[in-house]
Amino acid sequence: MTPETHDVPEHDDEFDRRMRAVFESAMPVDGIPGSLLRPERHSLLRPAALLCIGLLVGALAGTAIVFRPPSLVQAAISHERAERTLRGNFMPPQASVAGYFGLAPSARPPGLLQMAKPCLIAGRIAYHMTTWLDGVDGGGMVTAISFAQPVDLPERSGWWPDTYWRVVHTARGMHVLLFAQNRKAVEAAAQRFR
Amino acid sequence: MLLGKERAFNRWVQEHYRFLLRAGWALTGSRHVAEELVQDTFELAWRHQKQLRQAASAKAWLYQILRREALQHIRAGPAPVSWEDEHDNLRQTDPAVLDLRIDMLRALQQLSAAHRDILVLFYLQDMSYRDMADALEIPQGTVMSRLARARTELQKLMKGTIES
Repeated sequence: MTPETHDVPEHDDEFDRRMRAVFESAMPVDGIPGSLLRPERHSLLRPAALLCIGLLVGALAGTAIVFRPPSLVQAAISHERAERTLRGNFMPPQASVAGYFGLAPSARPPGLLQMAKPCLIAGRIAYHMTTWLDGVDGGGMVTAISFAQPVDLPERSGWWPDTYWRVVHTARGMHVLLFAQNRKAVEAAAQRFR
Repeated sequence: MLLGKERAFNRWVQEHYRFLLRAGWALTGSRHVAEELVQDTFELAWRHQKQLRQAASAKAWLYQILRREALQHIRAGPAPVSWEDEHDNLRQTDPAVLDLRIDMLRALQQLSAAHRDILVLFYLQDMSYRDMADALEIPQGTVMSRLARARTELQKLMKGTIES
């Protein structure tokens, strides 16, 4: 077949524009009928990936639950942050301090005492002591908290969020909470409170 | 690849449904027939998707299928029309749009099948000459000459409608 040699306008002229509008408006089309669409199979990788993500999230959540300290420990750590810069406040005789923390009256509190004062933590009267343990892996400032009334704090330890903490039950039955940024300092102080 | 076949197919449907329905409507003069043709077209496309070598030519390939189906339908003679459906369709249509549609479809029916084909592609899809040549399975030069003559003919037939 020999091609014929008629010219077609390169761009739409007025007639073309109007005809396009006629075609558009004369034959309105609504949505696509659902019967035309095929149900999509999902990739086999997707459930596996979701399962892995679920397990990972579950594991992380579980870890967070396991290591999340009791609310009283959290409150004590927050309290210490607010008072971190206090030093030399309420410095009673060391024997009194030992008594507040369940130590024998003859015992000395561990380290170089920096501060001791009564506080209110989560609505409970508490004794707050900060002491510097020299010679423990470069030294470490340790905070010890004891409560005037009995509290339910099992002997446990953890890290949250940048603080090592440990609950020690003293020989006299007091529950002392210790925490520091240096884990070895916490361990050393714990030995002294048992 | 296998896992994405349905998704790829559904993308085709979403991309080409409007064009194919209008094309089928313009070629046969009936929306109901066009809907059936489009259904058949996508069914055939699904079964023979290996024939489609590249996604860029999907539209032309789908139109080829629709066109063949439309020709078979036209050769088989007029299909019985559901007057109930037609009546519903007419009731819902703006009278001005209805006049326009009747004039346009009447004009298209007066054209030869070859001219009707090429005008549908040109006005509904604004296809390039190359794609039109692919869709109609004719050389590009023939597309140009045929389109020029079809336009002239349509211009005469639609003169009254366009001027009003």
